[in-house]
Amino acid sequence: MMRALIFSALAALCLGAHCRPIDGCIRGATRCTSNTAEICDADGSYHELADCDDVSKRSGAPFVCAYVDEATEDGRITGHTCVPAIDADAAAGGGR
Amino acid sequence: MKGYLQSLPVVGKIFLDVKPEEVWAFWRFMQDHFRTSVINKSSALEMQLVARGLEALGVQSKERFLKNFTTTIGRRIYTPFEVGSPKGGWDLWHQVVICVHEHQHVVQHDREGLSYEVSYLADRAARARWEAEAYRSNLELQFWRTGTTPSAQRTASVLKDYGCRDEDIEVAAKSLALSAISVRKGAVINEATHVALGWLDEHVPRLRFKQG
Repeated sequence: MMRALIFSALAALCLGAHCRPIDGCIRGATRCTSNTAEICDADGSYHELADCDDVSKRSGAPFVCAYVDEATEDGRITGHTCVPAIDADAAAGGGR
Repeated sequence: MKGYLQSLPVVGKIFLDVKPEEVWAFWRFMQDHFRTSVINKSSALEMQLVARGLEALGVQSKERFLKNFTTTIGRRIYTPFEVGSPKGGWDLWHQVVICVHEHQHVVQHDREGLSYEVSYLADRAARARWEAEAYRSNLELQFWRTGTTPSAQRTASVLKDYGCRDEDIEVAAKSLALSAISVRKGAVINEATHVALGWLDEHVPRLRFKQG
């Protein structure tokens, strides 16, 4: 009984903490998976930054996951995030 | 400072941008929507115990934890202020913002279940991730109110107080900076912000930043 309790507690800890698979990604790297922007954490695993389908519903306009490169107050920021579909279309069109 | 000025008798009214009854009504709405309860942090025995534990571990002084931080456990939100009563460090708009921040933690609790609580306590990278998501609500509220977004670096630096490592803070800052780009393009990312903005647009539209 005691052993079962200990194993259950360990399993619960593993579920949320350190026992997840490591992607081996570079800290701060980003990517689009389907229509979700993901960012690599300090332990080398990708995690969701924003689900652009959810963002579309909450914002009342279509958003898609895309690469951005912008000068901001925090310096030059590059990576993947949700942007209005119309902006992404325009950027793609500009490259043709 | 603003909270202190708002709390002054007679002259305090000059510094009120949002009315105490509006702040109270907003909290009531968010509590009803997310089925949460608000508890005064200083009088809660469980918070006294947590504060002692954190002090013993050298994470934070008991007084600082009880006075400066709002804490959410499950659906219980422990506040170091009376909702609608301004005081030093907790002006009325800040009380609105922290309400949305804490309810985003409730969204995380609902979405992830037990793994959210466990990873928050056991994994510093995960804690930074959960807090970066909640601080995104602060950023979204600031954009609604002022048309600007705060510095992601400065916002993320508060994660030092949560026991996060420099490398976790670096990722949180990038995450917030990318979120800010989306928000400035009209995105509402967090569920708690979406719910909050619905109420704020309807009841206090005068507070919203007006372009041009």
